[in-house]
Amino acid sequence: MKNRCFFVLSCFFLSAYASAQNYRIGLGYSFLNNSQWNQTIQLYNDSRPFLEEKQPLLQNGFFLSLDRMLKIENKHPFSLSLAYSFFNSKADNVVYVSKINLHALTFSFNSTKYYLIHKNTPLTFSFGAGIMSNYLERNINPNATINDDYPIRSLGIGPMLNLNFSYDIALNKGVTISPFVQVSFAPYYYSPGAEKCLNLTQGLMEESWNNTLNIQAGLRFSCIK
Amino acid sequence: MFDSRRKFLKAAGLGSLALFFLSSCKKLGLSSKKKFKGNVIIIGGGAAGIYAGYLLKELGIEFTILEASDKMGGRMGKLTGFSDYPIDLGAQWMHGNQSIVGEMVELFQADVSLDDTEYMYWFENELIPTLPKSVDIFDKDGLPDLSFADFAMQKGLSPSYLPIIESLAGDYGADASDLSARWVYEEEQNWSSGEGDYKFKETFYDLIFSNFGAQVANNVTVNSIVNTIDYSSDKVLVSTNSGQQFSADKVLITVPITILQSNDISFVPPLPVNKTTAFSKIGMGAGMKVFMKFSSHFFADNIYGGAVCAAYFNDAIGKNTADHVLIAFVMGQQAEALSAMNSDQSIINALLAELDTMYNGQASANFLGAFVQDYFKAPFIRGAYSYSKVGMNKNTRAIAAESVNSCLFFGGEAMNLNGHHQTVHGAIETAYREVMKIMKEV
Repeated sequence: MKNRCFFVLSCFFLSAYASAQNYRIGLGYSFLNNSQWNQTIQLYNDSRPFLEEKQPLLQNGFFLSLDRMLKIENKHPFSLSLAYSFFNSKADNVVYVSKINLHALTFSFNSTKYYLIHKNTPLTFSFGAGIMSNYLERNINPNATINDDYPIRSLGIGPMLNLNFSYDIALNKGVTISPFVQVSFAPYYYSPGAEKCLNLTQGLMEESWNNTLNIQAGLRFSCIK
Repeated sequence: MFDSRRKFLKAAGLGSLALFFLSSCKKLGLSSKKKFKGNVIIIGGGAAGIYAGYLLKELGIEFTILEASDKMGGRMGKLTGFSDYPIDLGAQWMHGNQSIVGEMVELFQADVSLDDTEYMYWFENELIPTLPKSVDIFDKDGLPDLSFADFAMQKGLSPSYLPIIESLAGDYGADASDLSARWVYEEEQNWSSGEGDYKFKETFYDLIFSNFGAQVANNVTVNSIVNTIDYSSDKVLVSTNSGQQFSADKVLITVPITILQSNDISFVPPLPVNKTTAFSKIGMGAGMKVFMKFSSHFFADNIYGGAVCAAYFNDAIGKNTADHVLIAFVMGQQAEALSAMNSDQSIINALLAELDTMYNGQASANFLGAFVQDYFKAPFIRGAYSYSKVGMNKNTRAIAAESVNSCLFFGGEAMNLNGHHQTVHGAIETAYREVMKIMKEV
């Protein structure tokens, strides 16, 4: 199954049918806000005053992305984007180190760029839709938490909308560098079992459905073939 | 206001970005945490009550813990002088190490060890290491709401297996004829605390009461037997048998479910019927631990299947000791039968007789002394711990644990909704759940 997904994604990104090709690689800072997860971590901290080092919220991370601009003849250009983000929360209490890792993957179709002020200005925006997913795990001293013989982990998934603002700076004829900010929002995010990772309990929080906001800020490097 | 469509789009774009960010900050709870200004009375000085007090103290909230007996602890206790190591009279195993108690163990560097000793079964009048047929029939989805005993018979196990089934039910503090195969499985699906049972080199009691009980000791009033809780006005009035009256904005009730079931506490106005019905659907049977000291280690570390006591455990596991102490872990009807005897000596004699049968008279020959801890007779406990009873449903504990009128809150192991009932960490989880509720109910 994993191989099939990888194959399909590879086809999207390496397809030779498009008449024009534009690859972009992005990296930078990623901010995450999932209200339920944050409340669960807050509950974890509030309920354990004896922990000197509190568990930070899962909100600061980095991302790497790969975009491919596609223009099929007589159609509007659009892009396919695959982004990986990593968030980490570590409470280091000398004899008790609790670490939560969140791996997030987004896949989206994005519109062509629209100019914010007038055509040919470097400030543009685009919007898109796709899927956000994540893998959440917790390690304690430094082993993975285990329950019923399996690591405690949580998978989440939900539809996502995004809005992207970027400023294109052409370095030379083929290469462009673009500082950008992208806001992604997954209003119906399904992440059962997250509470097990975040608070070692289940059922104290209504956590299966929630929403997730992700703001990315960084640089994209475009290369036109 | 906007002189061009483009400017409008630009403003809208930036505005929505700001809105997203502001809403995220609000949801983080970073802006303003509501601060409860009133006072709280906690009824019950067991693990839940003590931990709730500790949290309230940390939050700077005035509170009083009313404990009916003459000491803190509830179903946790400590016995010294009986053997060369301190004994946990009540809760003694940490079930799984991935819980708030597991974190306390790490933080306070308590010495624990995994109790994974071998079992022996007393089956058809002989001690055997393996049963002819497996009794692993309860860990399956879709089981009927039948008792462990009835379900075992339905699955074709002969009556010879009933004492073994009784010992399995005893682990849940129940009699095999009352414990629901379905609800045990359903409630255990929420378990998230990891595997294994851990013993404390010192005591479990010390972990909780040295570290947290000591911090709230000045707020505990012992010998306060609450008989009435009047929540008909803005302030809740709590009255005790000795005529004392306390007033509070919120009351957290952490007494065992048996106390709520038997209406030892009158509520004015009465609690909602669905709530009292939920109380009655939660099981809590008799429970007794008898510690027997012997001059030699003639017994197996775990013996299952006795007719007088379905489970015996070697208490010296995980302890630094030269003593040989065996616990008779008696639950359900077996505990009721022993509890009904005239004296502790009668109880001890009955247990020794059973062990003599198993070990050819070695029990009596090596017997040095015993200590009986009968939780069924403890007036403010009256049982072991809550269990999943035939006839309950998936909402039973949730209804029992619901707060009433935003002023009465319910904690304790029986009110745990996430599969951790019967455990100390389950009780503690309800303590922080209810304290957080109190903080929100401003």
